[in-house]
Amino acid sequence: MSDGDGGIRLNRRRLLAAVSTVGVAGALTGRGAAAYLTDSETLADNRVSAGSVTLALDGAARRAGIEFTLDDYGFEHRDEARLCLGLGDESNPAWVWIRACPAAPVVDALDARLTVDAATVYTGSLGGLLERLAGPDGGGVLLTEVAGAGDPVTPGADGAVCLTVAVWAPTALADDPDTVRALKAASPFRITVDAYAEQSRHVPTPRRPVAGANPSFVFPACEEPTGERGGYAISNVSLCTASSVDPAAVTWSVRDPDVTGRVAEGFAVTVTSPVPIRDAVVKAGPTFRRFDAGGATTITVSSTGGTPLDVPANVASCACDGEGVKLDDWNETTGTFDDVVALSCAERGGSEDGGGPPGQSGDGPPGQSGDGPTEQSGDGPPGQSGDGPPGQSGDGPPGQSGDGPPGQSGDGPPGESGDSPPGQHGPVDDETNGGAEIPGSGGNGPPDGDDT
Amino acid sequence: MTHDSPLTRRKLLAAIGGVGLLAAGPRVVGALGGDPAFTRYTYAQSASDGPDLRVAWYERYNGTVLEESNRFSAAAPLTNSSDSFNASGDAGRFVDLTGPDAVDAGPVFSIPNAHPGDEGLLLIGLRAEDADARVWLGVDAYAFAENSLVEPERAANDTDETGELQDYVDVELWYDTGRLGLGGCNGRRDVTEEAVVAGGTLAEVGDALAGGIPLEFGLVDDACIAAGTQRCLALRWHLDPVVSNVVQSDSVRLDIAFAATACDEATNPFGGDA
Repeated sequence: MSDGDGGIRLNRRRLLAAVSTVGVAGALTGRGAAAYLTDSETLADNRVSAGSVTLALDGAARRAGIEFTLDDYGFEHRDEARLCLGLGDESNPAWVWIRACPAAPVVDALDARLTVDAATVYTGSLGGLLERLAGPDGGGVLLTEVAGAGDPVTPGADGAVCLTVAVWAPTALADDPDTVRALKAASPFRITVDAYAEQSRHVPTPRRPVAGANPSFVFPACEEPTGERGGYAISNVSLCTASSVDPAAVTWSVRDPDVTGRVAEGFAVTVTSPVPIRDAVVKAGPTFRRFDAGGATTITVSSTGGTPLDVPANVASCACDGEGVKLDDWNETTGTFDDVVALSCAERGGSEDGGGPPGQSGDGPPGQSGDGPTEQSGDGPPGQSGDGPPGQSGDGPPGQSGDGPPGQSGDGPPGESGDSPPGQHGPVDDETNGGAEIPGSGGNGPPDGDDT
Repeated sequence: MTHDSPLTRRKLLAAIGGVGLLAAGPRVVGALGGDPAFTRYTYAQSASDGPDLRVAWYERYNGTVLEESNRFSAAAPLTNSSDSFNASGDAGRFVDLTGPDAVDAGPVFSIPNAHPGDEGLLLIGLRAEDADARVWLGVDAYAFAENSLVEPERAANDTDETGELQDYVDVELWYDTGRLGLGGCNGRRDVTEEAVVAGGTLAEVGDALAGGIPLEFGLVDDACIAAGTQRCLALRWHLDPVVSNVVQSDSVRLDIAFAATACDEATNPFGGDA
């Protein structure tokens, strides 16, 4: 202790006491006092939590689709779709890339307009718009670059960017039925927008999500546009009715194309029957499509709508269960069905009582189907089912008739893949498509503690 | 991780009786310091339970100093130089986290929103007050939390309820002593500066140090920190820029504990191997 003058004065007694005390302490040491003769300092509860970058799209997680249906008469209308993209509330600021894939070249025939937050940023062909959104190298564009300076997107609804795409048919199409036909064949078509978000911290320059530019993520390659592949027109329509119907009383009108000029092929037909219609089966290309009429007397069918039926290609000879009427033999010159015949089927695709078309694979005696019940052979002109002549299976040995069906059905499948537009650009597929990702900056980058 | 003494302070004072009376000042300690048996007692710290270890630190995150201990003394912030630490140590600005005069430091680093590419440094100064001390280090990494499974994590096939961040944070821990005692405490690893443990992920380093190890500063063949001097330890962490999305929103906690003993002490205060 210091006294008064600042010096330290220890009297002997205290000093001795000190020494003796220390001696005692030394003895304690000998008993393994180490465990408590320590001091400790703990820097506790330090923590590191990783942030996140999450994309927020309208409903879909990482891929959004805008689907335009060019319905039977939709061309004079403007079809509009809106797509909002942004980052989740809990996300960090990020670069957001979007990429659309080019569609079939025929969509160039449509006009489109892109507006972002009420500002029009593109007007021109739809194909040109998709090209712009695909980017020169398939890497897309920065979401904020579509309309703006291309800054990182801020999280939450405030930072979201909404794209509105309007699509319409220019009036010039009215004089171009072939293009209209191709458009109808491609409809409905879907524009798929892929989105990718990457943290902006440590990534001062956005990295295009293409090979060589972004080691973390690359947009999957666009599927090849399917080209101007003509769709299938309607070959025939089987009207299935609750009771027998007089073919002469059935009327129909071809509803398309909605343009001037010659109607070379029918894609949509409205049929009116004197008796209630249960359903209609349309053959377009290799596919049969069923349209439920629900007892109405008028039904409009098309080459792309309805429910595809999984039936053999030869079912056309009797596509109904029970009574019906069949509009057949499309005449390209007149634009009508030349042949309207009554049907009386036992069972759709029936196979047992002679209703079956050639090639029910030799269940019955070879002669049976060929000889056929009268109305059947009478109704069905040669080639009705489009393939083997009736006589062939009837006359032939069993093996021969067995040859028939494979050939028939063989006509179909190749076309199937080209038949249903919804499959072409792939519906939302969030399996293969990487979405939000925190990635790597190319290097540690200059430290920036901006948004810590 | 805390180091629990089997004896409370009260018991300790009773056992060695009268130590408090000897809290007379440096001169007394100096007088007694010739005997190694005595040097473990910090007489000048009558309130302390033993050798007095004090710490100072600063934390750097992506190049920016966020946290540093001189805030407790309202002094100029610590910087990445030996001079800064030495001056602070000599001025008594190293702080006590455990005694009655302890400051409540809170977490010395708290990174709420780490991004791949982030890096940070924790530079820790250790000062032995009044007596030479051997310092032991124990690190406990725990609370590996998944928190929420955000969509990118699920897309990366992260489905469990345990976080993965600890496996992606790389940690390097070294004696920031400088070269021949010069230029230490700068947070930059000189080629001559040895690692405390082999670098690895936070989980690996935590495993390696959970049982505690003695620190060997190795200056002039003396593993101890001499009384009245300080040494620095540097911990650098880094979140790999190319981690996968499984770490999103994950978190991890980390305790870094030091225990000071006499220089010849062989018993590991953390219970691990000596």
